[in-house]
Amino acid sequence: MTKRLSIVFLALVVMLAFTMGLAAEGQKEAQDEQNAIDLINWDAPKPAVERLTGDKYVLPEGWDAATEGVDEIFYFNSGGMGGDPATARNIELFEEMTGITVKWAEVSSEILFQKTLNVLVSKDKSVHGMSLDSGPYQLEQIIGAGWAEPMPFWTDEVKAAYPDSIVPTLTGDDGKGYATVDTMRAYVFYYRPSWLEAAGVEKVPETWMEVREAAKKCNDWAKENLGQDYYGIVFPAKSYNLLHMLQPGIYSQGARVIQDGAPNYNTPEGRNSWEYWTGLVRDGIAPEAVLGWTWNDYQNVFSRGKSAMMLGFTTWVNVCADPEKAPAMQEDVFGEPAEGPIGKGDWAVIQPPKWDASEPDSNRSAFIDFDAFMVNPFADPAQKAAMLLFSEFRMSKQAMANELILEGNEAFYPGTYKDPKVQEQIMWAEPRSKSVATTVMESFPPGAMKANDVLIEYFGRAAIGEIDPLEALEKAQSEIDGIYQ
Amino acid sequence: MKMQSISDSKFGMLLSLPGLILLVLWVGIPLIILIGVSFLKFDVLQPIQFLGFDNYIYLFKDRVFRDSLFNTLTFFAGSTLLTFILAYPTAWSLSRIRKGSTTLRTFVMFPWAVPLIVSGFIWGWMFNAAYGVLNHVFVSIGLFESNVNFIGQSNTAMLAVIIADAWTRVPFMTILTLAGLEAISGTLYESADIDGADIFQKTRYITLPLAKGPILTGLLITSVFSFRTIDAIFSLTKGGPARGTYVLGMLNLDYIYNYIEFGRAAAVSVYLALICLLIAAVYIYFLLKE
Repeated sequence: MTKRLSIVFLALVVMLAFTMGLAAEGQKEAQDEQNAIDLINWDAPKPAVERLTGDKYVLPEGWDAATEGVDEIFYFNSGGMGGDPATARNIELFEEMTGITVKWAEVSSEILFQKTLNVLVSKDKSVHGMSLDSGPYQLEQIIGAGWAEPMPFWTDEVKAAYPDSIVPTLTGDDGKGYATVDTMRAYVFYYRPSWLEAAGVEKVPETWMEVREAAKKCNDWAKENLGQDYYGIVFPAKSYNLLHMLQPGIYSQGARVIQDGAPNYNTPEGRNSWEYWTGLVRDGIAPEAVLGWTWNDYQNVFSRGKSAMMLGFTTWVNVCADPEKAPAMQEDVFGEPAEGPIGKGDWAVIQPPKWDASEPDSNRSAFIDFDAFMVNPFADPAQKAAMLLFSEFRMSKQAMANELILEGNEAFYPGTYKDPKVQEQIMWAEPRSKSVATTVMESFPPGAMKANDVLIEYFGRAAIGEIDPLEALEKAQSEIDGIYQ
Repeated sequence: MKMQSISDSKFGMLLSLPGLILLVLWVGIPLIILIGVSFLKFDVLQPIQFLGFDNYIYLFKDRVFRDSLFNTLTFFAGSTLLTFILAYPTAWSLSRIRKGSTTLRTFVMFPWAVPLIVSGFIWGWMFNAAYGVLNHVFVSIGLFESNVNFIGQSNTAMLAVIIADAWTRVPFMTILTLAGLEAISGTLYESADIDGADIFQKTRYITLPLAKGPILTGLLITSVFSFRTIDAIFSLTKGGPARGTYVLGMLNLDYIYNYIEFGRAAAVSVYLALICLLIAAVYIYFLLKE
């Protein structure tokens, strides 16, 4: 009996010690959390806005104490690093500054949100930062769920220095900033001068009405002279990328999609845009294959010489100018070497079109697309601190200059464009900066992904002639209204 | 001390216990949690609420759910039927070939080694409207006047995903069917030959009844797999065009990963499980029927 009592007593003592040890560990972790990020003084040695917007980024005071013991950080990169030379260069610079190695996983945009969600739901500590490739449609939900770490460097002064069309999307209801912009892409209108000339298009189209007319001529000419797999115009109709075509059609008429806090496409301007884009497929000017194309596919079709025109990312200027990535661009449509307007091949860009001649030039608007970047709130405190530093650096003028020059992405910090050293290295600076100036950014409430899927489905059905376009739009909008009730 | 002996049945149960525990841990508990979540409003933005059967009712009334259910049943029927249509003659041929049978049986197994998601990509390239080998062949032999966009039209896209899926399932079905065929005594066919039966009569009155067990087992497994695996659809069409190949598995994926509505996702899963159970019950009925 005494022996059994002793065993029970010993077991109780061990359990108590274990439990107290766990509690102490938890308390220490909570203390660490409070201490690590708080060790950084974001407004020293200079105010955050000056550290970010100077020619060279300056690390904040206390960064080394906050990141003590951190040898590496790990994040999900949207897509392959081969297509992100600016990101690679910025990583090198960050590693040189801090001695912290940055590792990444290349995650296809098709499963990026899924993997991100897995990390957040499972509170996985091993991934410290993540990109969101549909920032405008996903951020509100992520922030609302408490799945993003607040970013203390988003002071009021910093917010004022960055585009006020985008900053609110990165900010929660509590006024704190929860994300930065990973990469940002404006849209410009691309065309092949030799193709337009061969097809008898006398003037470069500047309205969507002119684009349609020109695309039809180019399409008809190409089918007779080049082959069946050459098209007047191409665009993406798979996934949310379709919205980046529908929305410019609406914005170019001076209208907006979000009304009373919910998306409404069944407006006069929405119906115009809808009929326009479905009509391109129905009338054979754009191929049915667009229904299966994402942002990468249709732009590759253009840069491989298969399309006369497209509304594409500014990023694609770097692709089109690269003889290795776009050999077809270095020749005209007759196969002869062509230098083109800037000596980089038979292609050119202009600002996105306005709807028609009655619209002002300020309506030469397109959507601005960006990948957001956020820090995992469940990561260890010191690692979070390191990832916050990385996030901050990536939105600095120094990092943004690399995005502009090396990758052709737009600069999240607008002041980057004013730097003469940057200006002399960017291709097509004028139409790009004009496009950024007139671009429209709307933030979509939670439920946007579901609404997008409804729209994409009905677009496809209308485009292949299964249903009348306007009837399709009415049905789509009715279902979208049901989502937001 | 004398060791007490236990009965065979008790001993069997004791040995089954570890497996049973694992089954409860890996299947039973998650299933209970899944069913529990299906009764909740669980969307990470608002507090979790008990909704009763609201998620089920919502889905039942939802057009997208009904359309994807129809697509799921079409896909299941098409994939299972095509698998059987290809597997049965293959198994029948293999059972009669003596020379090189080992090599041939090995070749037949190759598609099984291909992951479904890779199968989707392979067939995607073959069906490609501009560069696909199928269009090239069909146009060359004059079957089509011009290239066909197989994946761009809902009806042909469904056929494409059925082919991509069935292609990987044929080896498994072939093996099971072959096992059934080889268990049939040759004397029965000899007797049938003497009585003047043709091949269709022999198949109908001898082969199918006697090989019923393995064939139905293979069909059951193929059917259930066609419900639960969406890999080929994901890589080939992603449920498009215009949700023409959008099945319940894709809807489930969207509710979890795009819409972040776990309650409704769980309800979709429960509906899927119930459909699979119903189909399995039908097969088992025919399997056990004398």
